Amino acid sequence: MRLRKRHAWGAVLIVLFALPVLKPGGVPLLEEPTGAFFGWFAEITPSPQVFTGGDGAGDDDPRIQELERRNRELWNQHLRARDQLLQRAEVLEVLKRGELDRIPRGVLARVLRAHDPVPTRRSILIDRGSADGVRVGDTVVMGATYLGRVRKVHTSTARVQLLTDPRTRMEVFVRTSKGAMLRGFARRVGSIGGDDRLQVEFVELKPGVGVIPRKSPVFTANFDERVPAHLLVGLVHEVSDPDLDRMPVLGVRPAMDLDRSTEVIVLLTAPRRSSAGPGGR
Amino acid sequence: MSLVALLALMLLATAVPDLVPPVLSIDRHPPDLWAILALYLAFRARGFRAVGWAVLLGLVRDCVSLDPFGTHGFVLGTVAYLFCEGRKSRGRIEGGTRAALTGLGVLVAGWLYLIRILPLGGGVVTFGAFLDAVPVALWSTLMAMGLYPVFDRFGLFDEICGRTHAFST
Repeated sequence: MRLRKRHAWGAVLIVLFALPVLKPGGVPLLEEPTGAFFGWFAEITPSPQVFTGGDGAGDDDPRIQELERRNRELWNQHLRARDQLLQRAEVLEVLKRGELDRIPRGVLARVLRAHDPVPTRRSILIDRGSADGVRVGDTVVMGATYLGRVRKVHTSTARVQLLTDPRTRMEVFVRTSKGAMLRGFARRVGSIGGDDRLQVEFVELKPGVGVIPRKSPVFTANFDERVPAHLLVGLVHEVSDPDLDRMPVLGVRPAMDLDRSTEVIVLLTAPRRSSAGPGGR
Repeated sequence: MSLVALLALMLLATAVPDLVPPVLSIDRHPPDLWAILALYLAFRARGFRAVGWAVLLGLVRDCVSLDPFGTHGFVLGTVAYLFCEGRKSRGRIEGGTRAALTGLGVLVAGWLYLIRILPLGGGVVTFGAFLDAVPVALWSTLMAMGLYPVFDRFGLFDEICGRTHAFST
């Protein structure tokens, strides 16, 4: 009897091994309700807090504690509103510079979970989903900084694959000392000292375009119509010897900083009915 | 009771990476509560009973992470398969042995995951990625050393482990 169980579980594990290859799209019937339930839980227990100082633990007076609690709430609201305005202005400036046919609509979203449940992956969970018009593949930014793209969408939440995820590959522009924009391909190479690092390869340094100094900005390229160009990806911090084959490998420090804010903007690229600008909900 | 505890701990497991402090890079290598749970069930349950629950844990993890459905179902299921009691009764695993096996199990889970994602186009798996599994195993072991006695004390998973009666001495 137990021998048969052992074999049965072995067969189940073989099926599970093959499942992601046979059904790369997953099993939405199971994934959707489970993801939605865990998303709902994340909504009612958001982890990142903007301001948590001064908990008033030293005061026993309930009126003082209540006033301090209210003060914290107002301060958080103030910080969020200011951050939202700044982010909208930044992203609008970049989008206008891109000379797009149509400015994508931006939806403000709150970061519910700043980490993926798997230690090696890099993703965030946001409080906007299909009900808000978010679709798989939409770009997510923090101001003018590129964060990543939506990979899983539930009704009221969505999971965003970050730029620093090991499976992210993207085309980027690197600005040279003479202002030329050179195309390259970025991918994550690992973490150094706790910070994720990117590597940009296949950048062709043609004669006359100048050099790539340290701290040169790296931007998104126009590789995909749903990812606007000129969003900041990071800054070059290391350049391999360019004289070897005129194709230096660049080490890039990502510009995204999830500690900076708990608010992000999802750029909706789906056809829209109204003509609201970035930040319209 | 066991199912409620399992669900609560799964909800906690999704939040753990956000809750750990950023000291000693713990936030970069957060403890793997999913694997800790799967291993506890493997140590505690009779026969191959833990494998099914570990597969369930893994499939739920697949639903809430970026990985394709079945990835962690396979990983956690395999780890439980390797560490479960199997055909022969082995008695209770406790103390230092259990802590050491937990560390080893989390390490195996981390490495198995890296091998598992290779055919999925997960990119080049570097030696550093395998090394990254070591601090995860370390923090997980420490977390397990705090959690397992609590599970034992309250018999949280005895129902699903088929241990409705206490061990005789």
